[in-house]
Amino acid sequence: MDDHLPVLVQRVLSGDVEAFANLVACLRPRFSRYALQMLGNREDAEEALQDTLLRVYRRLATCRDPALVDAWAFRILVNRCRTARARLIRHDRRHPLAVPGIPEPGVEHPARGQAWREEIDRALARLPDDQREAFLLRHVEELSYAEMAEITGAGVSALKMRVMRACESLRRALDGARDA
Amino acid sequence: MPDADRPVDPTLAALLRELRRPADLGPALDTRVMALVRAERWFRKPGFRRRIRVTCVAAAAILVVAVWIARDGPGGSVQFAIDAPSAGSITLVGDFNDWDPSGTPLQRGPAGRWVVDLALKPGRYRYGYLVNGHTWMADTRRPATPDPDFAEPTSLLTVQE
Repeated sequence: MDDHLPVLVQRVLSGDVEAFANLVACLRPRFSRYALQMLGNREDAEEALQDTLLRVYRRLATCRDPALVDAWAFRILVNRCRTARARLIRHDRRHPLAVPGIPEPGVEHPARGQAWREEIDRALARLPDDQREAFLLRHVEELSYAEMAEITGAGVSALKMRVMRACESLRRALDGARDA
Repeated sequence: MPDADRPVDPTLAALLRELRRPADLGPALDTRVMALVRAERWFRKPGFRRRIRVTCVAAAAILVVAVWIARDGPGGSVQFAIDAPSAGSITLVGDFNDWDPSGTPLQRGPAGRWVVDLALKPGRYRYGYLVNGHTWMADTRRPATPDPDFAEPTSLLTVQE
């Protein structure tokens, strides 16, 4: 957690709207990764993240602990991604197979690495939403099960089961693909 | 972070190395968000709604005045004219000026035509001209009506809506 996040929160709450730009810049990288991996395409991820950040701004005064504003905001993001997924399902859209990861400038991706990434995205896309969510929160965002339970509203046992099943599915789907 | 359920499988470990790579939607998103936030902040400023109400009331008042002026302005005006080259003075007398014999003088124009423009609300008016301060004349261009209140006939003018 960035030490200066509480300071930014206080500045925004005292009327310094430009401080919110700094807060957004701090939250965006991690939030972008989760939205991209959870939703699987850039357009929906951008929409979910933009919606999340606007809600963060509107409700910032309700954040009881400014030191934990990133966790508080992340919960909003998880909910927005759930809403986005529900909307996608309602419209019967297939989970895109596009590569959600955006390469960093200057980092080369050999064809072999790209193929591996695409295999990952396909495997992630095939997971049920609740398993993908639990897997990403646990192993990519590295939250504790207690934090996950607070964010998702699910019980710890159920979350552990989802994570375990997700790991099994991903391992089965990706075994052999890495060295192919 | 040692953990019992932390993947030790090499495939899953490689998967996590890939998934934990940065994947940023980019600062363009910040620009869009901040534009929305700044706009929202302006709308939510303290007193904004009161200022909006005051502005609406002021705009409504201006609109009413503008409509009123339009009704009484050139578009709603009526020109009274009479050809009397030898007259020294002519006044318009009627319902619209409470039959004041000196309230509405006509101006002499070219070729002895006397004219005056009046802004009149829609309605029906009786009137006539007082020439040289003593001679009553009805307006020959408009219908005249016998008026039991006056010895002379008066002209009748209807101003439409």
